[in-house]
Amino acid sequence: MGGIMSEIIDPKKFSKESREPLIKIKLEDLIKLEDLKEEPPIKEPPTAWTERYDFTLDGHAAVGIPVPKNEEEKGALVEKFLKGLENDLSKEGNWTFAQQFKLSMDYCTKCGACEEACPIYVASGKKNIYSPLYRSEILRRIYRKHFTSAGKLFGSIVTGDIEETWQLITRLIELSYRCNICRRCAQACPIGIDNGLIAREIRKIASQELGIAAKELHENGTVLQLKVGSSTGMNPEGFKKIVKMMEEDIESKTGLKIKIPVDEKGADILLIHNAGEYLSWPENPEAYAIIFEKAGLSWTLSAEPIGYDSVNYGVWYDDIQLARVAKKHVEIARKLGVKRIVVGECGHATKALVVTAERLFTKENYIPRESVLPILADIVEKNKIDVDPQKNDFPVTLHDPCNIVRLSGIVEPQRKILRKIAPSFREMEPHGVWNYCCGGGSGFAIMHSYNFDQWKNKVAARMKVKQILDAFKKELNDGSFKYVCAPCSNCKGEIRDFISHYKLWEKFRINYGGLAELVVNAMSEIKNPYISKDEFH
Amino acid sequence: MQNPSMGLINYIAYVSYFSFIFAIIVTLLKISKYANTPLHLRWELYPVPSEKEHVHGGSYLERPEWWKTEIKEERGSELIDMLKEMIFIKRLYNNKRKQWYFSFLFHGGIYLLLIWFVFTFVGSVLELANIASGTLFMAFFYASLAFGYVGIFATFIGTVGLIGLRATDKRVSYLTAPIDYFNLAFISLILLSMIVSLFSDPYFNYARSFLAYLISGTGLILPFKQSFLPVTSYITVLLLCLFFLYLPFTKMTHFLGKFYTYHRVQWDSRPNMVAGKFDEKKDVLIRKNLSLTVPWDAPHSPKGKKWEEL
Repeated sequence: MGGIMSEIIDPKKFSKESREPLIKIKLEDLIKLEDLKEEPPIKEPPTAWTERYDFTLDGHAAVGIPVPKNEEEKGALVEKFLKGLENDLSKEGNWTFAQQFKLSMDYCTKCGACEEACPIYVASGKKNIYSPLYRSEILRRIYRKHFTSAGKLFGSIVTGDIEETWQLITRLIELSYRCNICRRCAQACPIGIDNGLIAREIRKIASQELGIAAKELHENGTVLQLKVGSSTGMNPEGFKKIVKMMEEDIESKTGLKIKIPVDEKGADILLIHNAGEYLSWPENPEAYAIIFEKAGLSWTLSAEPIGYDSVNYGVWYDDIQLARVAKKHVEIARKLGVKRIVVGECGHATKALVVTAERLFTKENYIPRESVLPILADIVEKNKIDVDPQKNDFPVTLHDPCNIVRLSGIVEPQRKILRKIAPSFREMEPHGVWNYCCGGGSGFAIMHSYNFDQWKNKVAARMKVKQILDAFKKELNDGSFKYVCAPCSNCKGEIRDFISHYKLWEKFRINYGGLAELVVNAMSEIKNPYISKDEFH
Repeated sequence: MQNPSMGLINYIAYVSYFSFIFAIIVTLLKISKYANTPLHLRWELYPVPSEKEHVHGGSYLERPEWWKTEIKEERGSELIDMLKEMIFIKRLYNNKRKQWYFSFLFHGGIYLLLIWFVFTFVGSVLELANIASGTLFMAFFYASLAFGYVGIFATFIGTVGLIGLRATDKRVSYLTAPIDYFNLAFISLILLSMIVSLFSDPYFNYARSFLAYLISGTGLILPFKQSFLPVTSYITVLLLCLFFLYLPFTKMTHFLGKFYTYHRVQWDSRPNMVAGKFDEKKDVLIRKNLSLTVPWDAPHSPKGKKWEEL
């Protein structure tokens, strides 16, 4: 799959100062989307951006690091990065990931088995700078040169050529945002090296030492969440108003009068959704309210700041922010006196709170946490609600969020549900733990700065677009309504973006949505369709 | 006075002892470095073969209220996956077939040579016990011949093939440092020396008796005499000694790293709470981590505070 490998950018060229990008994205290089007759062209970035910010990696910017004004600023970039790497190799600075990071720095044999597993590398037409091996090797060379005896003694014989210029640092940080951290590369590595982790560690060094991070993840992400309660900017009053609107919405759509519990002390479950759902896809939390009420569960939402937003962008770039947000989630649950936290349909939030943060909690402040998907499967399987699968009489395919499947091992619950409620369900290939990222992983779904959307839709999401078109191959042009089920808020955000970019709704009537919406759409007692076949949202 | 050749073989024996013990000590120190890193945040990667749900890539997190359930680790399926990876290098087979052919020959050859070493070792012990004949001895003799020859040639072809691939595969050659070629060339030189040694020691008789000489403590602990080796065997032994001195400092010890990347990272999915009970040992380790001081310098970092004070 994919084109012939393009011109190779070696590490020497990578470190060389230039105002021209190392590579340019061209449509003819990318993997072919044969079912699309045409797609939007690639636009050059305006000079107003390229003069001020570093676009020299690939003509795109996710972070948009300002070009340093003088030698002092240039030197500081290099010096701070090296200090950050030193911290990242220390027990104090990186107890969180020290073992896996050190192993991944020491043992790569550069066999290249990781490359073909990377959807970004393959979709780009095998541009070498996007290879998981390349990005990691740049960091490894810096590491060997400055932090190993062999590198200090024997120089480039051991390290390979490397010159840590400011330009290398800015490109490397930008390059760490050309990886979805889906960790397919780590699945492919015979030694178990984790080049996805290394991308995250580069982001972490940039954030925790240099104070450089994608704006959407840090300033408008974790910082805003910790300050006002949600990365959407929603405050507790705003949240309470939305809950009222949701109750009205449920009644008008389904005729059901449901009182959504908020801050119910002593409930069994604290359900935390990604707050983006309330603003972009309220039908998903509304569906859960309907299902949980009908199944008779004891549950509540929280109106405490941070308690109504499960997101934890720290998992993509910063351990300090990761720990702060996770700690708040648990504190709020303990204050409410619930028995467990259930994370709604959001992949990274599930992995962050249920899996990654597990070892941040001591016995005193521990509270069990789980994904909503096994609970939903239990409700459907045990017939706690009546469903009529014929109500979902349209083709359905399932997108597997990386954070739910490969990184949390939750594979079957969503399938059990779909097999029961969607007669035209079909898998994408590959799927389950071998899936491809939607292209929005590691924060890309919410990152829209500069021209990053263009890169994301053209390169990062391309493999998923191909998979979706292939999954609906038979019905692609028959005008039927098609549904991509994505039980993850960020994946939905990304899928919405690329459906619009490639006009998949207009051309093929491909829509998308969560899993709970499909369940409610199949519920026997709800007469009107819950999922509209006539509008793209 | 010792005759000169007797002196040389003793020097070679002492160098052999030193390099072997040195390699073991440095390797143990290296293991302890990885073993003593702090308990990290969970970063598993599915499928995790020890989990009951591994057949479809799943985990205990598929169970509602998983913390109330027993989470048994299925060591059998973990072992099967481990062996598939160790012996057949399954991930390389699936993801880079071209490289796999030579890598499999190389690693398979090394395994055969390790088995050859075990058989030769047993033969040496039998020789020391003065039973260097009879069915048992001959069984080990012929087995060591088979494993030795196949092992030497497989490893040699594999190594040379890997050098060739590395030099010609544009996707990896530009990232290859001189040391990467040196490591492979060093191994192929040892193999070449072994092949040349076969002309003077086609049945591994010298190899076996030199090993017996080493086991006997150069005749000081057990009665055994070995006065000389063919020149080619001296060269092979010296090259092997140099390799032992060098190996622990290189990434060729990735067999160690692999243990940790699989067992302590990718397959380490055990939660703090199982069947309603909190793991007390983990609690201690987590407290220890949270008491470390944050060294990071960015504006949002609480530099100087403890991780528990974030």
